Amino acid sequence: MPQRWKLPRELPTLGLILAMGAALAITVPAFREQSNLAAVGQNAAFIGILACGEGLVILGAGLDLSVGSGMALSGCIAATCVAAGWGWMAAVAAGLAAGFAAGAVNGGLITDTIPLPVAGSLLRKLGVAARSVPRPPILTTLATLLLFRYGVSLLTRSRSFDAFDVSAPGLYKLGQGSTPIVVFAVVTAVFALVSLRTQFGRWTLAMGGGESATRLSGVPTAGVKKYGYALSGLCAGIAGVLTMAYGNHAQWDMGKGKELDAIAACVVGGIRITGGDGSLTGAALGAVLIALLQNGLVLLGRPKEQYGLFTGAVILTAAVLEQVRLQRLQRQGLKV
Amino acid sequence: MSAAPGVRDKTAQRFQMPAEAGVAIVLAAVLIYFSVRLPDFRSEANLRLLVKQAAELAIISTGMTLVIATGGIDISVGSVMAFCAMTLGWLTVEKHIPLALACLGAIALGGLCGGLNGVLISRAKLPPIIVTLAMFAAASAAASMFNNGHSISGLPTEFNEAFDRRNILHLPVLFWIAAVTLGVGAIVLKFTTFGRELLALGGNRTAAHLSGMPTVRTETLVYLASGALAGLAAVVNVAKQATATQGTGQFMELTAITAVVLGGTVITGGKATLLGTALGVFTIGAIQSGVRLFGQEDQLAWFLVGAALLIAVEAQKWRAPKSL
Repeated sequence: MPQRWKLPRELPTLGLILAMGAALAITVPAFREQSNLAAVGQNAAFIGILACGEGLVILGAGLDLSVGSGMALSGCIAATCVAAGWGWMAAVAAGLAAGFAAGAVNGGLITDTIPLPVAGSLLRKLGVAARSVPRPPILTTLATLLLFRYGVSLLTRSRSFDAFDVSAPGLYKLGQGSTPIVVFAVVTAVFALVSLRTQFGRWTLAMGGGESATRLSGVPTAGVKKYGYALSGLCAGIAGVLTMAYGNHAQWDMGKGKELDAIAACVVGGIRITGGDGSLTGAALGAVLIALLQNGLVLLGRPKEQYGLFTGAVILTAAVLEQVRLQRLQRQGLKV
Repeated sequence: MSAAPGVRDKTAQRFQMPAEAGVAIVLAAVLIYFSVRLPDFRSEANLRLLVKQAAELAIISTGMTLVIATGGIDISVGSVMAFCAMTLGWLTVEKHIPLALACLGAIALGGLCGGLNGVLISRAKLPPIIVTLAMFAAASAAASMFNNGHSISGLPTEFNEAFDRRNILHLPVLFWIAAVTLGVGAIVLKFTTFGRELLALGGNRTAAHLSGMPTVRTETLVYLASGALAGLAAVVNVAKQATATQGTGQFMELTAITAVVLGGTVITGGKATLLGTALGVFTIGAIQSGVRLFGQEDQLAWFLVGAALLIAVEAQKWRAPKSL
């Protein structure tokens, strides 16, 4: 059968972004102001960086609910380092390392490389317990969502860190102006290339399509999974450090609920929630769309609490469109 | 999730713990530790308080158990509960609707939200996590639109007294509400066709459909029930506090999932136990009560709930059910 040229997956999202941007630009003059456009870009950057990591995990048929808590973890650790008198570069490195480590813990727990608690492996050795069953990602990352955020709150005694423009001007500058947007662009480019052009990326997509088949063809699926979660943690770390620099403030409750924004960005960007289909460019575009939506609501004078109504509607619309697309593919007799 | 057939650990087959064993051990450990360390913990007043505080969680967890039995998940219960609580407050305080009617209205609203989830999941075949995530976002936004996001107080005091103060057979009314909900849930799950269908749906969806079960109806109804129970939990919550707050039910979905999984219900569906859920709810209630009596902040309690969830997931691996 000759290969037909297909429309890129990201096209509907891009079209929506353009339509919405145009509508806002025409109807609301305040939208066109440079400060507002910068704010949209920065908000998109924070969501989009998270969405790149989240998207990678979802492509591999996983789910990471702990990214918001990962933000708080890395932000607070970087802030603690600044407060302890470290240089800002060392503090940023510590924050990113903490994010990566948190992601690696997720990956280790999910692939059962970390036997926790020890009693479990002991019972297995005694023959009381059976073969290892993978821990479900949704439950594991739900647990780490609580552990990371409240662990940080206990460690820092709910302390609030402020005034980085005085204590660490270099770090403060990371969150100002176009820097977050540049970081967002770089992260998107790197992650999109990794997922499309590297062996790791192809393995991740294959794993999302069918894990058993991928494992049986000799792919080390446990390792691929572990790195996916670790990279998602790293993205959470980047977003956490940038958010803290942007807001000039860090506390244990930062980034609360951001995991939902990230998942929404992925779904809106055309990544199938069960994995194996979609692109990280799409996830980044989804983040831009969500940032535009939130900005539009602000400009129209809607209170912040009402974002949820619209975000919910957008997620649902995207899910319905995806379902329609899937059913059409199935009717054409293509195996999906 | 299925392993290669024939490769099965013989020792595990011989020694199969009942599903509730893990949670029973954890609960016993928690109760003994707190009773020894804190004399206040085993006082009658504290146990009454504990039971009252765990009532909402017990109600929500009953619905969650039934949903998880079908292999689905309902993330929206916490914010649906907030939405129902605010609606209840608004109906009674601002619209002066009789209390009983307003309570029924709140439960019906919860059922409506849940029913919408159910229709989208069963008919439109959308993934439960996406649908209930959207409902989570929408319902919490809706809850914040009442009274400019402030809480609504000034509910009649007899409402508070009827639920919070009154005893039946020396036990708080809230205990009976929770116990009846759990009991009815257990009977439905064990002894009715509907309950069998829920488990069949979670065990093997295609097989359930091909054996002529009304899968669409069953799935819609289970989400509807979960939503209605969130409404009931909202009524209990408003009665207890005599105020409707939009922050009500925050993290309720996480806590309920933890209680259900801790109790031994399999997250992928097909196996569920409401006795385990009841024990799981009691465990979480005891941890929260103990932490508070130790004079620690709530953050520690949430941290411990996270740890408990991780242990619960681990415990399910020990049992390694055949269906996994």
